Amino acid sequence: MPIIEVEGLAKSYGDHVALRDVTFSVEEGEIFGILGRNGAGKTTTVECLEGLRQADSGRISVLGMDPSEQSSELRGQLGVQLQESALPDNMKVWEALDLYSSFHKHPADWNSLLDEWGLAEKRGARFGKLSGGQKQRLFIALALVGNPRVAILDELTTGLDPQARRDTWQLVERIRDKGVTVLLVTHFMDEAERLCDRVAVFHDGRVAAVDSPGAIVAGRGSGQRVSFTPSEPVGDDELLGLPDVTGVERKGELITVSGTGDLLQVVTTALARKEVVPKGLQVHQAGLEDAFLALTGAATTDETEESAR
Amino acid sequence: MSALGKMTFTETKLMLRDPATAIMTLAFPLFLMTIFGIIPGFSEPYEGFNGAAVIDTFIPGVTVLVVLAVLGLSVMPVYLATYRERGVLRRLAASPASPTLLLVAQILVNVLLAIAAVVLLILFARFAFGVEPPANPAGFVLAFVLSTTTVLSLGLLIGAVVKSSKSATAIGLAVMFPLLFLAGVWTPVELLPGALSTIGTVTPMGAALEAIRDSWGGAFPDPLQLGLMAGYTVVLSAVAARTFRWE
Repeated sequence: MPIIEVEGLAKSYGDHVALRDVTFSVEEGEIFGILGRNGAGKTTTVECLEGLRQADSGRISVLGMDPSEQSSELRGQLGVQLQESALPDNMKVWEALDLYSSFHKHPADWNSLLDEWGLAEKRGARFGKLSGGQKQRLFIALALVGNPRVAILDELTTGLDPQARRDTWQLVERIRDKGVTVLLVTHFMDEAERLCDRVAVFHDGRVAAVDSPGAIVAGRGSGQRVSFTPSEPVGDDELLGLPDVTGVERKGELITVSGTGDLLQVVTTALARKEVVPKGLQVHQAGLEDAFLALTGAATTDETEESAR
Repeated sequence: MSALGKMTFTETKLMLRDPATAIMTLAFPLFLMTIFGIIPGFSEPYEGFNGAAVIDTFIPGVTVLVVLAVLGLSVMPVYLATYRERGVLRRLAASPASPTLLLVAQILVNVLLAIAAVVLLILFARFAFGVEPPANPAGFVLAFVLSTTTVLSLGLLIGAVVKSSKSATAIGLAVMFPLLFLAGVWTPVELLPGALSTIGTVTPMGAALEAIRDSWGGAFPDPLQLGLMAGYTVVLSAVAARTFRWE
């Protein structure tokens, strides 16, 4: 039986429709990703799951409870890490854990959480003096202080440097290894691909697809791209005439050929026959990003840059 | 320790860690008593106050009121607004903690600080300027408790709805000065023109100042003013609780 079930969720803020029709379910013990652009309805959905917001229509069941009816009971078993939240700057790390553990009936031992999340050295440090990664780890520890069965992590790695992001991914896997079901909200494709057992792709207030990252990629055609700079000029027609080639793009001297099947071999063989050397040859295998684009129909680059700032 | 106990203890530590507020609040009574204590004539019997000296009940009463006004209408709303602005309230809302926990803890912290300031005022006024402590202790405690709940509920209402700490500051001051004026802090109600003095004694701070001055002078506070303050507290805090926004 699913640990989280969402059916036909809809929510509007005035004229703005945030959720049109959101349906998915999460099985116990998995890392389930909610993937989408800003404004796709990811955060609104998890806020409804957490009982922070009330949907206009639809049905939600988290651990068998309705968040709008049994919010305080549910929050006792739900670990939550929120976007745009903070602690008072002068609060010390141990005080935060001590305080938040007092909200729970059966809290975890927060001293071992400190060790486990690498915060033991920062025990007496004030929140305002912590680095981004340390704050994030403290928020994870706070989310786990009530021994939750489900942890909801919203944009966990946004604003972290690449090394800290990679470290955080390991932490997420560790949470799951403890038997906690993880709902991971993200707009990073690599993060979803690396961590999630299954992903719900959100687009414009709807779920465009739910499946494992691999199945989502496979379902959208396994496109490939081969790019190179030819030593001698090559015409578009010569490339388009090859089997398996579906398109050719040029950027200055750089040619990108897209297609399916044995694309690399087809292209290199054809070039060798004409005695053209492909310089700087690169092969790009379609991934979740390409599948995401196919599902949602536009580039994500703007947003990824924005959030990386 | 219970969640409320831990929350109050933590909030108290946080307030002391940023000690400007606590120091100002505690130094203020000493400052005001000293200024007025050394002004010639303020220690002499004054016919406008039926023969009491200005520093006997008026200055102590004003001091208590201003301490409450600063804590209730400036410190607390700005604190809550900052918590809201920065997402501290949001994080708390996602925990199993009851929404009222932080509000109650905030009120307790400010009440503790107000009590400390009043005790300091009474001792300092007595030993530095020979001002007698409140002559009707029971009446004074009652007046002080109701004054505190009145002013803090008003502050809670401001803190419940403002979006940012800047607007909390602005609204707090915009509410504070007219109320202090009507309460007769600059011109004692005895000297305000008729209608204004009547209005003054029924405003939240006017009722508070009257009740505090009466009990300091030895009388039991007027039930009208005590009742008014109880009413203000119930209505204002109920509205604050209903309108409170986490973000």
